[in-house]
Amino acid sequence: MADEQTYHVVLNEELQYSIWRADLAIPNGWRPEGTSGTREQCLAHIDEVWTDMRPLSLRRQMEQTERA
Amino acid sequence: MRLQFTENQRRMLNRLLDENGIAKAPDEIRPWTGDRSCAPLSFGQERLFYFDQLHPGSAAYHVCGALRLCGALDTDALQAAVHQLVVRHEVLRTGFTDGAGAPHQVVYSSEQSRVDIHQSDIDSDRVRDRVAELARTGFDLARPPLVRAELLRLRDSERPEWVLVLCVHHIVVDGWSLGLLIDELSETYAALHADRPPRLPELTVQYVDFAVWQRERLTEAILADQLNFWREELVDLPAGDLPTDRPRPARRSYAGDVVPFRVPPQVVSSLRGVADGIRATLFMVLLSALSVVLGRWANTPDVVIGTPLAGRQRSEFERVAGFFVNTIPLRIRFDDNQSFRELLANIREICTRAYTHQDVPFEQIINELQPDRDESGQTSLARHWIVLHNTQPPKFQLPDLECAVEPALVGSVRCDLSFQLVPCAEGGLDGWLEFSTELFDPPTAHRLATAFLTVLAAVAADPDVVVAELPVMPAEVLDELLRLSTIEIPVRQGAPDIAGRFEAHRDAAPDATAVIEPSGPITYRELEERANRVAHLLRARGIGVEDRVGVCLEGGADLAAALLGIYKVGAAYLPIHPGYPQARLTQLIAEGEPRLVITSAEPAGLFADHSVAVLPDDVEQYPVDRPPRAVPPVDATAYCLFTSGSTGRPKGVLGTYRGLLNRLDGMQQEYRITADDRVLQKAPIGFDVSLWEMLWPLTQGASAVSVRPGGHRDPDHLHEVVERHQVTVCHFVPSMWQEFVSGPTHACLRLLLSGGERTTVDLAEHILERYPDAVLYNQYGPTEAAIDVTAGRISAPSKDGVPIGRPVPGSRVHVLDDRLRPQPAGVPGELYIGGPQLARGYFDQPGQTADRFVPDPYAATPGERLYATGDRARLSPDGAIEFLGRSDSQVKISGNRVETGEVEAVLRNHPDVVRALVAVRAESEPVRLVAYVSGSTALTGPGLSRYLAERLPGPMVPAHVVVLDEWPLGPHNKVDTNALPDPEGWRAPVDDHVGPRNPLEQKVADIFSELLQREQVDVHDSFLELGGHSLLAIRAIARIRAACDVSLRIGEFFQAPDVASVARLIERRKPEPHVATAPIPRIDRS
Repeated sequence: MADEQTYHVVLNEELQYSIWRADLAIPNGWRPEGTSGTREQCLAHIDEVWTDMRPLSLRRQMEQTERA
Repeated sequence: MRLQFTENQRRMLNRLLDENGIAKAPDEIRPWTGDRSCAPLSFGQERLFYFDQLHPGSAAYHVCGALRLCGALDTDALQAAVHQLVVRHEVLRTGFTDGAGAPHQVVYSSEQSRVDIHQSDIDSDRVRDRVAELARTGFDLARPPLVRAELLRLRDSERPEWVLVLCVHHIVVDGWSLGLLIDELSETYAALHADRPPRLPELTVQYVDFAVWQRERLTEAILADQLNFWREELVDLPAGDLPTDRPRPARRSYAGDVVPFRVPPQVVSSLRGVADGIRATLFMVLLSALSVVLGRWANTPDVVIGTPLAGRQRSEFERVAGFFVNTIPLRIRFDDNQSFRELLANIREICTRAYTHQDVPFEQIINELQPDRDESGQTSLARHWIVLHNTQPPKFQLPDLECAVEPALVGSVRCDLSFQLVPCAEGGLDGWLEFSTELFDPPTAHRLATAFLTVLAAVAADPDVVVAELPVMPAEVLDELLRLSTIEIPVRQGAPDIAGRFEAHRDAAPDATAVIEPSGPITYRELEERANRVAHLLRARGIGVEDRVGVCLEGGADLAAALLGIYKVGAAYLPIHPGYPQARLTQLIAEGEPRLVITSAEPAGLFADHSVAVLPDDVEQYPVDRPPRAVPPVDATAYCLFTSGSTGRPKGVLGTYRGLLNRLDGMQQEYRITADDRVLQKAPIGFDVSLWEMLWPLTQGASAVSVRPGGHRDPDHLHEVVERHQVTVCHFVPSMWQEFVSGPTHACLRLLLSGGERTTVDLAEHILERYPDAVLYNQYGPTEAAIDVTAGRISAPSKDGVPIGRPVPGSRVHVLDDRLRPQPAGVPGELYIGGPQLARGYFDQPGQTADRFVPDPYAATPGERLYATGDRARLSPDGAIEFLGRSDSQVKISGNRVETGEVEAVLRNHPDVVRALVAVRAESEPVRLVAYVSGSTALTGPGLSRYLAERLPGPMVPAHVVVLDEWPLGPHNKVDTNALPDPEGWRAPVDDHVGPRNPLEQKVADIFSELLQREQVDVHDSFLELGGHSLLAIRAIARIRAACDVSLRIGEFFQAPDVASVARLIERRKPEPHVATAPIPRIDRS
């Protein structure tokens, strides 16, 4: 069953990626990224696109520190 | 019992059935002309007869009721009325004996088998006990009457008041008969009282006539046909068993209790509407709802629910007392994504099919399909029942008397759970859940009843709801669960960063001891000077936030200085244990990509190709003053710890400053240490515990006491360090606690922490016994969250296991199902972790991170994540979490779901066992369990196998028990499960046939092959695996008794069910040695 399950690639405001079962309501604070498929397909896609794994707020803080 | 027909309707129906050749019975059932002192048993009676042989005098099949009578009771009339019933119904004066080969029933005269009402005076408060006592008292089936009546006069009542107790064996009555008998008792008493003849219809047939008719009618062909139906219906049964509060005992007492419930009239009326809409019945709606509940509890959309059918399809038997009822096992498979209405339509078909195959006795279905019953004769086929009684209980009315039926006084149950419902006057349903108190606690039964009602209410409101979305808990219970899973964020303890907290204590008390090494103490001032040098070095190399710094040191002040130096520049600590093999070091460096590795002289050579700083030489050039610094962002990486990945590539878990601070604050809030405390720092770096062992004391002005390299696995050294430096706080994994607590005790220890693997009850008791004045906590936490996420104080461990406690401050811990919904208390699910201690993910592994760190549906702030631990757990009603092992520790053996932890718990209760671990050997087919134990020298594998067989159902008994002298330990002192030896003879071929080796084995083998209808039987083949079941076992025992003059008990037989073992048992039992050699003629009873 789990293998046939369809998932959505989702991400939050911090641009952290995850996957979510397509038949369940996506929790608050997450939005679909646009990709759907099997678990493996979604995770492979995330491996491609999630290149900077730092949360967005951390990236911004680090940029500010660098500029200062 | 589901459909009520008038007598005329039923006759008509019978005729129609006959005309169409459906009912293959002669038009009318006539009395049997055979010998009523040697009559056959009905199939149902045979089942109960054999059950009684297995459990002589068992109360499991007693039917008991009590009536309260107030007013002018004519006791003579009552006695006479009871006597008339015995005259009227043969079955009430029938006994059962195991005669020549097959059991038979003997009808006695009403004078030979009198039911005398025993009268006694009693105080009201003793009635309940007396009824229970009467219900428990066994019958001898050979000696009728199998009816016991007692009239208790309440001597403390103001007006004349009695309780009439009737206890009958199920082999002569069923629910229908009881109603009938009560009805007839009323009429007869009233008639005698009024001096008129009772108005009762004449009985043309008796129960014996039914038994004979049933055996004639259900020919081999019909039975075979119906059995075929059930075989197909019950193919590939799920392992699905409901989680119980206690392991299933090997021997059942059938003790039970009752939880009442009520379905409101408006719900019932909606449900009837739903049923009518698709030509289903109310029963089918109830069955559908129950299957949803059981499916959810057992985590499988495939359940079997038993239900009794009246078995009185023929009108002739309507007024006959006796055991007609038959159980049918309804197999319900559903698709989670279908609507409830679709499920109901499906169940209507299932029931309709089943009703047309209801003649085959339940016992035959079990024997046909589930010969692998365990020793107590239990079958997983009928663990859960539902009964809808279609009429209200009969009104018992006697002239001049107020009569009331006493509430059900059930002391025993025949299955695990039985949902019983009966229509009540207002249009609702009165229900009661009978449950086995051997398996369930009353709150669990209450939750199940509530779940049933919750589903019914939801379905009444919307019958088209998708099954998977049906709630099984009321909203307030769900809220309570979510509330229990969250603990408030702890109060900040001082500066907003770790380095700042350390510096504050250094400034307040520079000469206090920071670290005590085996070589001597180091003050806060000295330690900070060394840390500052490291920080200056890192700054000089341009290392800061998000840069990983490898640390390859043993422990002590150097490690503290390196760690604090790293935190002073806000970088990330990457521990690399110097004891790792070169290949592992190379791999960690490649995966963790440190900018620099701080190490000491000796391991420096290991990092030839990398940027290395050797302590102390490479930092001596830097100043000791505090470098300028900023507080690192809370989400920046504080540490990177590697865990093994299933792919073989290690995963670097990135822990944050926020998480580390939260945990340090939480520990301080809960355990509180002061400058006077000394914390043992022994965990090898790389184990997350080493983080707090160092940082907690250093951020609280206390001292860390370090051990010599490798000292963490040397109990003697640990004892010496603890005593010499008066350590007050220490943590060990349970494996080490086991060792440590067996040595000398230390009065200085006040706070004891255990974690990293499962803490057992025995160990906890042992620790508390040795350290009665100390405080002991059990902790749990995967690397993916900062150190511990649950903790619980252990003060008086219960036998059921040591929980891992409650969420630590700031953490959220949920037990969820596969749709991420909270599981009801007591139901296992996967453990999910949320809150500030969550790691950021796996370094440079986005896919793996996204897989395990998932959107959090229960977060207070949107967008948070939960970590899916892969650990199984369940919540106890008080919110404590019971750890059940890895998801993969749960296996299916012979169709039964087995939790290895349960088997381990039983092993540990053995007086000589100190440690036990049960491993799943999935590479063998079928999957086997192997138990590993250590303890006293008296332990033997076979001895422990017997011990387990006496305590656990067959599937839970490991195939092999291996006694170890020493446990293979991994790098963190946890047991290395991969290094456990294969049991001896593991791969030995088992296909070599071993025939009987002596005359005795030959005798046993002959009996086996005859009963099992096999040409040859190997001396090591199990009777059960060859298709033997309890009835056949009883016959085998009878044959053995005849052939060898030795009586084996059924329990012994099931524990040693192969020819060789049975022969050994017989050998041991022989009263006189010469008898063993004397040829005994075999008695042919066929």
